[in-house]
Amino acid sequence: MIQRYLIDLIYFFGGLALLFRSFVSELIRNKVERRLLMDQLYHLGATSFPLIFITALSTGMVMTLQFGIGLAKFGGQPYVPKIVSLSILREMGPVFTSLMIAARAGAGMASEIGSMVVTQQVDAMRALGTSPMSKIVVPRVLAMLIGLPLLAALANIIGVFGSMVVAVTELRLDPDFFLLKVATTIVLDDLFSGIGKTIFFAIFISITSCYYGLNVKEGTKEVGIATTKAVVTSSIFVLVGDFVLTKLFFIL
Amino acid sequence: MREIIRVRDFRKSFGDKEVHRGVSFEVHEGECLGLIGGSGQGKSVLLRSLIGLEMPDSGEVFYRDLEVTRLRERELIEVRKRVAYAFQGGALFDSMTVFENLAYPLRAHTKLTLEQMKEKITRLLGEFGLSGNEELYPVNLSGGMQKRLGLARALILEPDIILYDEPTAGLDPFNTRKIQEMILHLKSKGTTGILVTHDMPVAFAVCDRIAILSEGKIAKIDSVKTIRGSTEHPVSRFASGEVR
Repeated sequence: MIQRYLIDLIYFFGGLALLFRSFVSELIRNKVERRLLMDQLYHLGATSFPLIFITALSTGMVMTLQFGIGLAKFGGQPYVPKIVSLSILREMGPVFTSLMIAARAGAGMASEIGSMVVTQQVDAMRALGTSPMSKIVVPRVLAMLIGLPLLAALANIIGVFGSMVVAVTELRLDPDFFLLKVATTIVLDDLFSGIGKTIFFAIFISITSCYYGLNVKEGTKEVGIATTKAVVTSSIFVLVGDFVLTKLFFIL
Repeated sequence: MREIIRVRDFRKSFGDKEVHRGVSFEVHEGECLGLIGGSGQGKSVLLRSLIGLEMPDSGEVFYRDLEVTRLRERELIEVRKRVAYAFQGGALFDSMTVFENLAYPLRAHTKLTLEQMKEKITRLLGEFGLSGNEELYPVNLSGGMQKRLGLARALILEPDIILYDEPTAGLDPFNTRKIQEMILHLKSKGTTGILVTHDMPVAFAVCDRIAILSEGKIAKIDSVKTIRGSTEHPVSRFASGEVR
């Protein structure tokens, strides 16, 4: 039982590594089809933005409220802009954005690719002498690599804005004071640490989702299973990866 | 006639089930070979293996002088440009319009301008009775139209060979006749064909020879005339529907 599980795990990680290698080699060898990339960027960016907006705004607002009420007992409310903006930029913005994208775009990728496998569209691509890697995987992974850091950057701005709204209306902090504190607290390292992680998260989400989609074999029922697995696995990768990368960035 | 496809001692298993136990046959240039057999005999797997969509456990598949079974995915592209595959369900790209489906192989393998593509696609759609549907999506087409579109897409690069996977399965008599006429038309132009089907009347109408796949081997391969008149097992029994 455990032996079987370990073998499956080795196959899974081996499969992910091979898919990533194929992606890199395809990217180096062939020109990326701009039309396919733009399509994927549109799907990822434009259609995910409302979700990211709500998530980031409410995260910033809730954190400010919690810290504001908690720190009020010690007269620490003036520290709220500093704490919240740092938390958003370094952790909450990138991680929550990645989790939301894993749930929305990752699920979409796995189910779309899985359906293409079931309806033999992936076979048709190969039969027509084209590479599913360049038509399916490369545009999706690349769109994720471009789109996720941009969405995370937007989430940072929206999160800090949400924090300011609550700080001004609920905690009665001066907006100029809030902005001054944010501007004097944040350094480029904070920004790059958060956004830098999203590049890794983009690979985790897109490669995992493409892998599950491409490995659908048993028909439409498995498409649903693959979609669930893609979301769960890429979310775990994001959360575990976050710790490892944070630790690594601190060492570096 | 020159051999264009050669299959030698093809063996393939799925888990414990040995589906192909040494299949051997060849196809000559310009002929149409019917590949018939019951469900689960591995006809489609065999057809897919001819262009490397599946690989055998052992055995050889040749397209002209190229050993398909030894080629890598990248090297198979040249074979797939010359050997077209018409999928049973059409396998159309559902996110693309009819026009885009037909333009897909042209964009990948030719340097045609958009105008030249339009001209070629319009002509082909006319030949397949699909004119005026360029902007529709596959989901808006009937089953018969989807099959015809799948066939048109397979033909757009003007291949040497077409592999037909159950082209008339699930079609009404009108669409069956249409597909049959198209296969005959292509044959008259010298295009080689391999037809996997359960539809014996269609196989008899369009094929030059018929191979019967039974119990993992080619049980019989002969001219349509001989097969039709045969009283031997498994030919007559399969044709009369007594066995799978």
